[in-house]
Amino acid sequence: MRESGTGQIIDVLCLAMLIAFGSSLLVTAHPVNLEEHAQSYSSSLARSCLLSLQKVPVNEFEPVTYRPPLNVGWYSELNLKNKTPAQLILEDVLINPEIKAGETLATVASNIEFHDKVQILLKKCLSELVRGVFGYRLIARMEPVTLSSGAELGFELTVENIPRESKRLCSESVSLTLPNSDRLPLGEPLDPIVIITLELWS
Amino acid sequence: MSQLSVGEDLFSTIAAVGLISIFVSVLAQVYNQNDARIESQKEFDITLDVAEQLKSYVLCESSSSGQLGLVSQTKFETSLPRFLELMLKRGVKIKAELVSLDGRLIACSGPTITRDSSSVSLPVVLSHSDGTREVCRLNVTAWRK
Repeated sequence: MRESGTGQIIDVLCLAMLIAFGSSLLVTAHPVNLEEHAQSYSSSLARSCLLSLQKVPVNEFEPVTYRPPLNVGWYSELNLKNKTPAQLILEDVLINPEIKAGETLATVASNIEFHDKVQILLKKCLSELVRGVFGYRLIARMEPVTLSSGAELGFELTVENIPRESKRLCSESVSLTLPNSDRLPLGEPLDPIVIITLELWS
Repeated sequence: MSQLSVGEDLFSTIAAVGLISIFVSVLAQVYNQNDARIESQKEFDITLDVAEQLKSYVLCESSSSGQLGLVSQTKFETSLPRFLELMLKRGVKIKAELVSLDGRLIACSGPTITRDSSSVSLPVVLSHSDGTREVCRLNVTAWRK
């Protein structure tokens, strides 16, 4: 009788352990993946941000002026308020491209001040558009173009504000062509493409 | 073996029934939470889909006008009510508003929000009649009837 009772208690304890284990699995289970929400929303937000960067004049965010480096004894300051941020990125590619010859990397920076202004503007734009909901990284990159001398002409600009230990949620890109290829310091017919990629991070 | 041991058997039965009851109640709660999550996910998907449609088609200038991707306030006043009506017939209530970056309400359409619902906010470019452009936020809230 005593042995039978002890056996039953052990059975009940085993059952209790199984039930506790099953319950804990159920409680910790997340049948709906909430990350999918964040991914679908961030993709949509990134596309909207890229569209805004192509359509809105910079005056909406921060006025940008540009002083062309002309050695003609006078200068005039251009107000670029009606250009879009995307157009300013293209201007930056034309003004401050990078040339890579072998292992040597040189910047043909005719106006590095303009490069800095574009970076500040993009940070301001993205802060306004993303509004701190996500972290962001914007990369503007020109596909390397090989010159007749064998050197490569390229460009890369990165603006980011990514919180620590965050995870990339989405990456959306748009390809733009340079508005006036013959303004590049080359004598060759080129059709460079600048790819602007916007990543959003959780 | 067939003898009844009152103390131990009663304890075992009470313990088993108690544990099974706890398990069943946890199971019911988890199922309820799961249903609520699925419903919330569906509402969010609908809201995001509606916001995308508004941004890309309903409120958008036609491609022939060269204003592709731009939202127009005229479209907000003319096309949006028809779209809201159509969605209402499908059992989805929608409230849409255009808010400037400094928080000024530019336009609003749709019924008053009566319960907890999914909301999505996307940046859009508003094209004014004088040709100027402005960044706004399109806030869309959707819920099922």
